[in-house]
Amino acid sequence: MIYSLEVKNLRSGIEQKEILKGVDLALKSGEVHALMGRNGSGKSTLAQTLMGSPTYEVSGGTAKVFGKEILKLETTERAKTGLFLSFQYPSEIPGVKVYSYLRMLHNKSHEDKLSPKMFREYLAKKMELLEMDPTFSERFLNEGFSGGEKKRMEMLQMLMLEPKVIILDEVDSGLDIDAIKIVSRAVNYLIEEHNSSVLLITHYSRILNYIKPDFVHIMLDGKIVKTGGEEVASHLEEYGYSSSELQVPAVKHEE
Amino acid sequence: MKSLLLKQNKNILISPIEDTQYVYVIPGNSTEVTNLELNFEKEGVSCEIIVLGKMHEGQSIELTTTSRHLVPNTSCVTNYFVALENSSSSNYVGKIIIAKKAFQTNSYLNNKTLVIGEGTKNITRPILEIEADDVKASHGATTGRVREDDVYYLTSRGLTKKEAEETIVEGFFESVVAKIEDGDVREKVRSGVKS
Amino acid sequence: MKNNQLKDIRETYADKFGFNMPEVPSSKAKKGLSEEVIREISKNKGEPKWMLDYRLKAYEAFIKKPMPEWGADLSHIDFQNIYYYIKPGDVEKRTWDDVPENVKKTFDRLGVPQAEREYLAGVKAQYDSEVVYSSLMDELEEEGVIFLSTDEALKKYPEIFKEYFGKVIPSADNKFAALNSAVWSGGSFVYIPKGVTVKRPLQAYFRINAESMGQFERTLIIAEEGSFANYVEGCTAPVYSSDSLHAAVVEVIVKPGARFRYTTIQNWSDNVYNLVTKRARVEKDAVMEWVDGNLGSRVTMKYPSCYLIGEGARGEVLSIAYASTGQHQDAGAKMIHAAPNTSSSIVSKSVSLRGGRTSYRGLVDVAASAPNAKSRVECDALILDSISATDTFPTMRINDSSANVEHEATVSKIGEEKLFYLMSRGLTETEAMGLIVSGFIEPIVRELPMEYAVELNRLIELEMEGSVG
Repeated sequence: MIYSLEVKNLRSGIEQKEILKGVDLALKSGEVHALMGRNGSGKSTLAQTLMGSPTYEVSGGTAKVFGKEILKLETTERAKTGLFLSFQYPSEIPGVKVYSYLRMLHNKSHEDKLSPKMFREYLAKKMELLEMDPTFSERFLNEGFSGGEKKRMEMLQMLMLEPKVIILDEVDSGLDIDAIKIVSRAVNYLIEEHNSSVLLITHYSRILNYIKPDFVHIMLDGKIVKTGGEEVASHLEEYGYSSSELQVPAVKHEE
Repeated sequence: MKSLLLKQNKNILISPIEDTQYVYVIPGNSTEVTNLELNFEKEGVSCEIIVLGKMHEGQSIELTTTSRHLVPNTSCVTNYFVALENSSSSNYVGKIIIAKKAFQTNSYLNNKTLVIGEGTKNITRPILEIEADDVKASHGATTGRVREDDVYYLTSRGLTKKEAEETIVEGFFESVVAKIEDGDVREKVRSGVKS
Repeated sequence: MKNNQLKDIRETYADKFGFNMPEVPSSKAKKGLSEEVIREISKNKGEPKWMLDYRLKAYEAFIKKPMPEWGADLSHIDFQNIYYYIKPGDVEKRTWDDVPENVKKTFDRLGVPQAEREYLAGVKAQYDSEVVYSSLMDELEEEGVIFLSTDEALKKYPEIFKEYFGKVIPSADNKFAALNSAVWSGGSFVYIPKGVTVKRPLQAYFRINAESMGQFERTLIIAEEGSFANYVEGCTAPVYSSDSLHAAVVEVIVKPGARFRYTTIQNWSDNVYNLVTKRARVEKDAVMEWVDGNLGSRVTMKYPSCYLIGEGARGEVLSIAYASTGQHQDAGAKMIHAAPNTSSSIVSKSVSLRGGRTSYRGLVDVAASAPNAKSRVECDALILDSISATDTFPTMRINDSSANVEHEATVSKIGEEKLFYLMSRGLTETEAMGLIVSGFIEPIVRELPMEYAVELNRLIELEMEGSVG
């Protein structure tokens, strides 16, 4: 069985401090895996490590996209395997116009290049799907965007690239219910049309009403401590992360 | 952070130590040339320079501050706050020098001049000389008058024009004085710029 | 690998801009400078006596003036090893058909296609020291706009010429202005009559194309009351081995209520000393804008200035400096506030890579007679590697109590997190760097005419290919 994303015993951290302490995950095409856990449990580290962030150092394990080992690849090459990360904190790139940047992304990821006119129409449709104002394409990439606007810009880039493996790092944080619906629409479109698989990192189960998970994983202290169906998320909603169900030692509450 | 109040001197050369604020108040009668130089020779040192003063009528000051970063991973914030009364002047050179091997330097210079009189002269030369790449260095310098709107606002609350101006000048200095962490030093500086 | 890539860029680059065209100068003046050479230049041009006297007086000043002791290293300039005047043809050509075939070819490669002429209000192309081709559109002539080579203007409009020539930049202003005043040749003369708006940019192309040849063009611009125009010049230069000197003088007079923009993109080969004096006199309620892009050259020293002498006058400078191996860009701006309610703004962006050095050097001067002056200076430097350097030397001299002057400068490198973000979308490191650098200078590039903006971005893409890793 070739998984779209297969992670085995992945360990990584910053300098001497190990944050991921052996993570295992396997996603099949079209599947949605929710990854939940409290702040500092290592969810974002997993996302950043998989994309090849220079901040984190891998100390062990493997990660494959469609059978291809990615941990040794440059970030650019990882992106070319079809892996996409929606950043929790996207960078602001001053002076780079959204329109020409997106056109470049589209041209790089597609065999058949669209004429400027066709691309404009294509882009307009995608922006409509995300209920974005057309003037966004004239702005600079993420510069001066609000939190919600940045998240939509992440989704727009995702739609341009049509990735096979999507990692969403707290795409729902700071969004109201309407915005969550819009973001979910874009993700569901790729699941349906391109059979993409999704690793959905989130703090709250709210978004799971719109992007239905096949599996829910709970992460704690750099490890996945529980895996199940939607019921895990519901349980979490009700009892919180300190529930004994999760076999978690008692923790202080203020975290 | 420790706060260290520097004594009046023409030439002050410092090899800064960890977590220290070097504070210098320009004496109200001084027309001396003052040279304040920090040479960062120890890695990991981070410190702050605070120079401030009110130039009284006819007074003039020539001041040079230098933060010279010679080793990696040091940081420095330089503040020079000066208020100019009638016919007073300030001639300031603020240097940030980052040597070739001094990676991960973080150095910032902030110079603010508040003009409260007529016939003032103000020369500011903030200089950056950067030979290393992994650094953050910047400076900001502004010169402006007491804003009429602000004076108006305070007079509308019953202050006289003079009181309003004094309040604004105090506030101007307070924005940097408040950063002084040592309570005794802070009080000394506060009364120093008032006189 | 990197070196080869670099070499490839050079070659493509040379090919693109036709650096290896054979020259066809019909007569070459002797190398070196003397009173005799100056007399010969003036005689050759058939100038009036006052101009010869002016040149000789400037020559005296040039000899007396010391070399500047600040700024970039100029110690390698050998004034006696330079040609001071070269004349490629005997007469100025009026139509494209008359232009020699190899010159045309060079201009094709420079990107002056026939089709573009429609869009250009007039094309001036300086080949060596003399303007060999110029065209003026009829509508401009009808409006009374004069756009000629400076030499031609001296012949055709002697009165107006004498009235303004050398008035903004006196011949003894600095050593290189004095040199230019002594040996000037070519350049543009622009006269915009009262109230006339010139919609399309007036364009001129310059280049150096003789070994060790100095280029000393002289540009004089008069924008009469309430007029509006935009002048654009661009330079590309051949790669030659010995040092070349470019010492131009540009004088602009912006009369009350007029608005003038002067755009320069210079891309000299990396053996050229580019030492240019540019200054504008800005009168009541007038606006002067300098847009200045400095790429290439061995040394550039250039500080476009605005003398704001009329109430309400405004000056703006937008400057890009880009320094690579062996290059020092010492560029900036000067704003002299000499009248009430004047305002100025300077935005400078510099990029240094592969051992290059950029320096911002600027002056904001507020005279005691200039109440309520406002000035804002913003200079940002980007350093792309550990062997490059940058400096910032701004001076603010404020002799008036009501001035509001702000200055901000930053130095930074490209953030790792920005590179990672773009690479996560499939861009290579080179592409990501190119994009970030282009974005960094975008606030100035957007002010350039389209074809210059495109060319500049292309150039940066090429340059980035050698700079990663």
